[in-house]
Amino acid sequence: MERHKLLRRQIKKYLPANWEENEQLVHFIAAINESYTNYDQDQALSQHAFDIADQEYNEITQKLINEKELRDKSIETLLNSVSQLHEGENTDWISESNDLLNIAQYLNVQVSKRKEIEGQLKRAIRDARNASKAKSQFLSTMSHEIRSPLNVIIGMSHLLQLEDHLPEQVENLEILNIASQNLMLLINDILDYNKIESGKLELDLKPFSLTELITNIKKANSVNAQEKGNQLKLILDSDIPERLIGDGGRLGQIITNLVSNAIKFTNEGTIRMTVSVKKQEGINHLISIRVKDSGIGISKEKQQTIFEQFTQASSNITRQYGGTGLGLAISKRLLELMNSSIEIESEEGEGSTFSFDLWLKEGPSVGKAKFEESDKRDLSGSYILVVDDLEYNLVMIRKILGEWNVKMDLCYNGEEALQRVKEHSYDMVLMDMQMPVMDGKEATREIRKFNRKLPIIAFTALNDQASLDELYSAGMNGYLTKPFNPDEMYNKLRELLNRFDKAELE
Amino acid sequence: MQIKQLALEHGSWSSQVENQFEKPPALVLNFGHKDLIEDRSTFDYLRKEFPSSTIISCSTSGEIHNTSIKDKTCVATAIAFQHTKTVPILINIKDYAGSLAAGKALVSQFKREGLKFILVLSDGHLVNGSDLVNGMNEELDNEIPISGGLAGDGPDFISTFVGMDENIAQGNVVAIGFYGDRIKINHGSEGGWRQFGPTRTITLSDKNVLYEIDGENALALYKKYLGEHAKNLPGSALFFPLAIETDGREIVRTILNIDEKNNSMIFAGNVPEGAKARLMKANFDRLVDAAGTAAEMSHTNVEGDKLSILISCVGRKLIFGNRIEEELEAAREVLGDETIIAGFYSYGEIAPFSDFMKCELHNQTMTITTISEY
Repeated sequence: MERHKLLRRQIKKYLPANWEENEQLVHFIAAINESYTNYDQDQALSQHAFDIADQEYNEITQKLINEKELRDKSIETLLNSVSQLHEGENTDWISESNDLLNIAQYLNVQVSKRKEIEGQLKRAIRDARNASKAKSQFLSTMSHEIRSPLNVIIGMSHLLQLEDHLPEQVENLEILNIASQNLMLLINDILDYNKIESGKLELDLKPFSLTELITNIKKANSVNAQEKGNQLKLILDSDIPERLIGDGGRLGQIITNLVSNAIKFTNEGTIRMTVSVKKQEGINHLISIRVKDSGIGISKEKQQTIFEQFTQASSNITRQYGGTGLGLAISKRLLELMNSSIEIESEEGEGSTFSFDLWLKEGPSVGKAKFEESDKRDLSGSYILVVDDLEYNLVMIRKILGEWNVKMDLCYNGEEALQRVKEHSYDMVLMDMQMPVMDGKEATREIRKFNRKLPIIAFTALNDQASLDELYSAGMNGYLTKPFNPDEMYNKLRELLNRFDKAELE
Repeated sequence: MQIKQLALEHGSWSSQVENQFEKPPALVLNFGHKDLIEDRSTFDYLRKEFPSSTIISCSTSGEIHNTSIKDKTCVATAIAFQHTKTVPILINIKDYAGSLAAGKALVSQFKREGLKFILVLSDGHLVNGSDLVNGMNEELDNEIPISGGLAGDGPDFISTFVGMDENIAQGNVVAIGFYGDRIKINHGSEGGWRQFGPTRTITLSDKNVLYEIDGENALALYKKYLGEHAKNLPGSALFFPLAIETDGREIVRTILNIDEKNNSMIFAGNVPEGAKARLMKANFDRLVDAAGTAAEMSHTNVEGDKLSILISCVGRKLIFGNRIEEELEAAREVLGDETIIAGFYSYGEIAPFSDFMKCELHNQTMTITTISEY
C-alpha cells in the first residue's frame, strides 16, 4: 500500500534511513498509514455530503425567502382590502401587527357581524314583503268589494237610460253613467296593476284579428277625439295577417291606453295610429304599432318617470287631465310580459310618439263572426236559471235579462240550484262561483252527475288561467267575467245559447 | 456466578477463560460463523463438554473474542448462576403469521412472577426485528427489559441460524428468561452518529422498504449524497444511516440493500411513513467513543464475575474496517479486566433506551448488556 504523502514527509524528517529494519516500527507505520488514508477518505466523503447538504439548505433558504416575500405581499394586499372594507374605522392595530392570525381573527369578528346584519336584512325584507303583500291583498279585496255594487250602479244606469226621461234627467243619467264607467276603469286598473306586480297575471294566448281590434279601438275613441277637436287617423298595413296569436284583450288595453292618453293631451290636433308589419320570418311577424300625437309633449326628464306607477308628467296634469297615472305603468309591464318594450319620442310642445314592436305568430284563418248584431235585442224562448247570493246582482241580472225577454228563475246558492235543475228543464244556468252553503263548482259537479247536457256558465271575477282551468274541470261550459257589460253579456249569451243548441255535449 | 469461555479457531478448541465450575453451568452461549454453527460437530463438542447445559447457538457477522474480532471462529461462553434460574424458549417464525405474532407468542410462554430480564437471539434474515420487538413489548406491557440481537451472516445477508440445543435452523428465535432476586442487569446502547442536513419526512415505505422521502425517490437522494461512492452501493450507504424519529423516540436505521429495479432501499428495521428522517454521518473517533459510553452505561460495581454481552452492528464493522478492534478496546477500558466479554456483530441490536423505557430494535449501535449476581 502506498504511503500517505504527509506520512512520507514525516518519515523522512523524523526517522533514520534504516527504520524499515525494525519490524515493529514497520507495523506501526502501516497502522498509522491506514489511519491517515481512512481519515482522508472519510474527509472527502464528509466534504461531499456536507456540500450537498449545504446546497439543499441554500435551496430551502431561497424558498423561504420567496415565500416570505409572497407572504408579505399577500398580507399587504389583504390589509389594504381590509382597510377599504372598513373605511373610517381605525384599523391601524392590524397594520401594526403584520400577523395573519390577527387579521384572520379580525375578519372572523367582521364576518359574524356581517352575518348578523344579513340576518336582520333578511328579516326586514321578509317583513317588507309581507307588508306589501298585505297591502296589495287589501287593495285587491277592496277593489273587488267596490266593484260589485259599482256593477249594479252601471247596470241600473244603463237600464234607466233605456226608459223615457225629462231632458235634464237624460243629461244627469249620462253623467252618472260616465262617472261610474270611469270609476270602474280606475278600479280595473288598480286590480290589473296589482295582479301584474304580484306576478299573477297570465297572458291568454289565442287567435285574434288585429285589424278588427285596431278598428274597434279607433271607433271607440273617435267620439272623444272629436269632442276635443282632434282628428283620429288610422293607417293599417294590408300585410297584417287575418289572424294572429296573442292576448288580444291585453294588446287592446295597451293601445287604448296610448290612444286615450294621446287624445287627452292633444287639443285641436291629430292623432295618428300606424300599424305595420316590419319583418316576417315564416309565420312570425314583427308588428310595429305607433301612436303619434301633436299634443303638449313631454320633457326629456319626465320621459324617464312617466312609466312609474301613479306618476304623471306633473301634478298640474292630474288636476287638468285626470287619470290614475297607472295606465302607462300597466302598459309597460304588459309589454314586458309580451317580451317587448315601449319607446317614446317627444319634445315639449312638439307632440309625442309612443311605439312598440311585437313578434306575433300567424294564427289559423277562420270565417267571419257567426252572427251579426241585430238592432233589437231579443232572447225570447230561452229559459235560464240565475244563481247568485247577492241580491243586487240578482236584481240587475233580472232587469237585464227581462229586457231581452228571457224567462228566468232566480236562486241564492248551489244547493237550491241543484234542486231547481232537477225539477225544471232550463236552457242554461248562470252560476256565481262564490256562494254560501254550496259554491258554484260544487253545484256544477253535482249537476253533472245526472245532467251532462245543460250549459252551465260561470260568473267570475277571476279570469286567470288557473281559475278558468278549475272551472272547466268542474264541468262548466264557459264563463262571463264580472262586472258585466250588458252589451258583452248579450253577445256572449247569444253565442252560447246558439252554440249549445247546435253542439251535442259529450 | 461462574463463567468459562472456549474458542474454536482453525479447527480446534481452546480455553479462553479457565474456570472450574462449582455447579454445572445452566447456559452456554455459542456465537460463531454460520458454517461452524451449522456444522453438527460443533454442537456435539459442546454437548460433551456441558452435558446438562442448555446450549444456545447463533450465527454472526463477526465474533468478539475479548478485545479482538475474528471471522470463521466460534466463541462459547458457559455460565453457571449461583442464585438465578434461566428458562429458555424456542419458536420458529414459519409457525406464525408474522414477526409481531411470533414475538407475542414467544414471551407469552414465560411465567411472569420473578421474571427479571429476557435475552433474545433471533434469526436475522427471515424475522422482521422491529415487529418481533414490538410483539414482545406488547405482550409484556413494556414492563420487562429485553436485550439481545439478530443473528448475522458475515457481510452476506443471505441466511442466518439460531438454535437451542440440537435444534439449529433458519427462522429460529430463542428467548431466555432470567428469574431470581439477586441478578443485576445493566444496559448501554450508543451509536456515535451525528445528524446533518435538512429534516425530511418519510412519504412512501412498506415496513423496512423505503421508497420516498419528501415525495422524492430515496435512492436518488442517497446517490446524490454519495457522489462518486454511489457506485459502491449498497456498501457505501453504510456511511449514511438514517435517523428516524417516531413516537418521540429516535432510532437509527442501516441500509442493508438497494433494489435498483424497484428504486427502493431495504433497511435493517422498519422505516414507517410519516416519521421524520435525517441523514447521519460519523467519524471514527465518535464511533469509538460511543462504544465507551455504552460500556459506562452498562457498567456495574458489583463484585465478582460479570459477563458483558457486546452486540455491535455489522454496519460499524464494515465502516471501521481494520480499526474495528478500537471500539472493543474502548469498551474494555471502561468495563475493566475482571469483566468477561462475549458477543458478536449482528444484523440488529435489541436493547431498552434506558432502564425505564421500552426496548427497541437498534441499528449502528454498540449495545452492551452486563449480567451479574450479588
